[in-house]
Amino acid sequence: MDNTKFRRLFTILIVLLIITFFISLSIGRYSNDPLDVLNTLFSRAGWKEGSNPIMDNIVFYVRMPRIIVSMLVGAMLSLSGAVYQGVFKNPLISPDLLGVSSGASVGAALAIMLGASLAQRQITAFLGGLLAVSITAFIPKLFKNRNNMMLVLSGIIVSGFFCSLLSIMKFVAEEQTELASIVFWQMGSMAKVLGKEIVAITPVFIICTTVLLLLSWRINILSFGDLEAKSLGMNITQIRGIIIVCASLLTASSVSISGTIGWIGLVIPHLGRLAIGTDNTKVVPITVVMGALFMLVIDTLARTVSTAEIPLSILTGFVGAPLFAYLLYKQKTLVE
Amino acid sequence: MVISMLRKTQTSLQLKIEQVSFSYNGSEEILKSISFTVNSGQIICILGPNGIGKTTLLTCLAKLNSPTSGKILLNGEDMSLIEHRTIARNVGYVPQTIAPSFDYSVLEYVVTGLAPWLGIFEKPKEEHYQQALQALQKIGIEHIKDKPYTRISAGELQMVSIARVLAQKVQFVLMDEPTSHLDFGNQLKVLNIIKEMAKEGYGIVLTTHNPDQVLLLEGKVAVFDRERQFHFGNWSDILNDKLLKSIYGVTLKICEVEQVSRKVCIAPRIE
Amino acid sequence: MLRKDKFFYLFTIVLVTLLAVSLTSIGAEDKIVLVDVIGREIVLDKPATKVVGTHNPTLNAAVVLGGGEKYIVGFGNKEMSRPLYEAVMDDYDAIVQIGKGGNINFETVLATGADLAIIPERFKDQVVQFEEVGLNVIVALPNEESFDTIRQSLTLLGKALGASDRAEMIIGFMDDRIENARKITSQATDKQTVLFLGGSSALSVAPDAMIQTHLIEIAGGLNAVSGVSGTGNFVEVNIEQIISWNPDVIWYPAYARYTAEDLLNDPAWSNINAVKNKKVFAFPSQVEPWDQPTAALALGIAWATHNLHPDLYTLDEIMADVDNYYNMVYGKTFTGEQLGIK
Repeated sequence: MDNTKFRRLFTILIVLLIITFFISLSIGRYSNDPLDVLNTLFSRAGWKEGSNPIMDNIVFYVRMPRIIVSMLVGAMLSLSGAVYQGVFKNPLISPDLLGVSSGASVGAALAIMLGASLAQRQITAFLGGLLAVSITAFIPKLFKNRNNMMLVLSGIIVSGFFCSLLSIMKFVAEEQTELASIVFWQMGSMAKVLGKEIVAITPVFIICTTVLLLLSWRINILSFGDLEAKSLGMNITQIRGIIIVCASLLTASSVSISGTIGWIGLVIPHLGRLAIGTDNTKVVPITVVMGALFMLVIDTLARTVSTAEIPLSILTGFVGAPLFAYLLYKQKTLVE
Repeated sequence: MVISMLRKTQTSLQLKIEQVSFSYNGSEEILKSISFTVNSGQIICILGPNGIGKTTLLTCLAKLNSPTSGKILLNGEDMSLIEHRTIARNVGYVPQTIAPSFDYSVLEYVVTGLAPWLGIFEKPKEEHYQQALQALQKIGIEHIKDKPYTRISAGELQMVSIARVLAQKVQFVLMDEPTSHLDFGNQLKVLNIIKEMAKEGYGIVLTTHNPDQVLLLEGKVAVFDRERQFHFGNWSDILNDKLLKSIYGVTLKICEVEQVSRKVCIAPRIE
Repeated sequence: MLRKDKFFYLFTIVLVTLLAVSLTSIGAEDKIVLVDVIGREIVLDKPATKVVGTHNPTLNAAVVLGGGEKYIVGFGNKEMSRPLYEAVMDDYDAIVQIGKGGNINFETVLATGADLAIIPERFKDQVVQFEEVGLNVIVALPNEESFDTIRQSLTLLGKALGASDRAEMIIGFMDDRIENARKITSQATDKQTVLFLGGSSALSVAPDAMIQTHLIEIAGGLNAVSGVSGTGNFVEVNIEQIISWNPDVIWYPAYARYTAEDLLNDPAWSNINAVKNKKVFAFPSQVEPWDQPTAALALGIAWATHNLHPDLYTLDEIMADVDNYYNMVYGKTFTGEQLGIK
């Protein structure tokens, strides 16, 4: 099996990620001098005497956490997108499909309205997302229809319901303080992510990503359809169930800390397939790294381009939508 | 041409269908108490009018559907008690159509035939890709191994399906209308392969709309007539003009044709 | 005709003419003509008596002019100053909820029997809809805030409600407190930089076009925010921006969702002067906001002056101002605890 192309691409992406990491660490509203950053890093490591406490604070408490979380979120959203697309045999869907994003949004909005802490908000968003997925998974059982299309329709129903719920909450919220907060968060932002939140989502990221990497070849088989997958001896309900739960956990985690960020779960997997083919054993790892890189770049722009913070969905839409159009053009067979 | 990828096997391989009945969700019975046996090296063609249940029967043989009564024994064991993975190591299924969503290469597609032999978290290694390649070579299509399987001809796609089932190293192969969308040349090519496989020891069950293929393959027949009556046996014993009329509702004749030195099943002139 | 009769007729004609002229001019004097802050002309036959609104600062002017619920029949932002309004109105809960912000139920408005709607410039699109249900509309506060806009809103509404005297009195109080602050801070030697945060998030700040700038300046400080454009609304910025501004003092609204503790304990904020010196304060008060473009801003000015120059203006002096104001406007006073001042 020709792995050289894959290895090469993966290496290039990792190198790009590391370089971008350092560039991002060096730029920001406070200072754009990479030397400042290097000095800070060296003095932390004990190689240099004297340090600038403000710069130290900025590097380790302001920029570093934010960079890490943007990479994590980018990876998680892209990965869940790639996996959903494989499992539902549909390259045109994204993590929002099953209602996870809207469910998580409602959970988080509830926390904002009740004045809960950021940690509590994360939990309610998590629960909201899982609740939405559970309902989505339950509806086809109610109709005794196990078709993939049924699941998609069910997801649309649940998404729609939770979105309306969110609108009601926005309507009821106090105009001055809560509404603004909910709206801003709905468009995606890393600005308020705390260190402890990053610690909380890391285990989810590690476990779910590992499981999905291990099952990535099986996703190929699931993408052939139920009949073929079953005839190859796969317990499709179980495997598909595990994959959906992992992908949904990844999406809900990400939504709970940074709000809803669109496009990335749709576009990055396509970019990955364009680069490396459709075999999920390659697409899954590539998507993880590409997603991290993409989100890192976007978030760096969001916090440096102007004094005001630009909501992430605006940037991802601005870049993602035309990019997606281009990708569709390149992969004409998809639309046929 | 040696097609076999079979492991060293016993000769007592058998798919035994005993009094199997089936209906979808308690509605009308499609299969009524059907019994027959498939042995290794045998070809069995399932004939019948449209919609009578040929594909349903085939799917039951692969445990893709479960009979509502009766049982199917795989090498002596009740299939309902065997898990899917084990069944997939013994019984392969070639579907009528494949509706691809992604552009996997032919090799990537065929290597999935190894799925029943790999652990759930395992990925295929070099040796498995080799086996997939060998399967392609057996049918002589290894030159398209890197082509996306969405961009090959219908004939090539059918070969690829068969290659996968070869890579699956099963004993019984079930094919749903393997020649239905192929041109004549490819049809005969596939029939040739099927005959070779039977010679190598595979037990093959296929559905077909063309009764003449039965004669070409010289296999047994499992027949549904329009009243859902089931008949099973050697084609020479079972097939006659009367039965054919009761299947298809039109006149078909079986006659010896000297030029091809065989009996053919053919329609008379259309007035 | 006799000369006596001619004279009598002339006299009657002149008298009637004078009477007619004076009658019409009396009628004309009864009409109230106003020009609101976006240049619209509003003509009222008589002073308005029933007022609705959804925006606290603009509606507050009517509350202040009425000394309580006198004019208010419908309100959309009942939570912002609830403690104060409950204390000065008999049945605050009975005041009809007409909708929030831009989403107003105009049928409900019609049902209140109101004759005047008071709105801020950013909701000016509602004018047509209010007029359709028969109300007059006054746009009382523009997007760009300043002391003048407060004076203007009080004057305008004073005229509209027939309470011009009260308006003058309240404006007089405010001018007096502004003058006082100016005098006091002219003696100050240093100017501290102050960052005013928004209520929804600790990363939202008040740009120049908000009243907070004027508040800071008159209290003898400098607005730490620079390079942020925007009108009348808080703007989300990056934490690094705040770090580079490095304010000496941070004020945040009493109604904010976060507290001083949140900022003092956040490591990202730890290097900012205000945090290092623990100069992070909730801007009063607990009964109503003193940091909005309302008459109560005068009290905000007093507190701000004290906060930046505690030696030049004491707590007692603030409380004197506070008592004077609330007595004058509502005939009530509040304690330091109630207000959240110490």
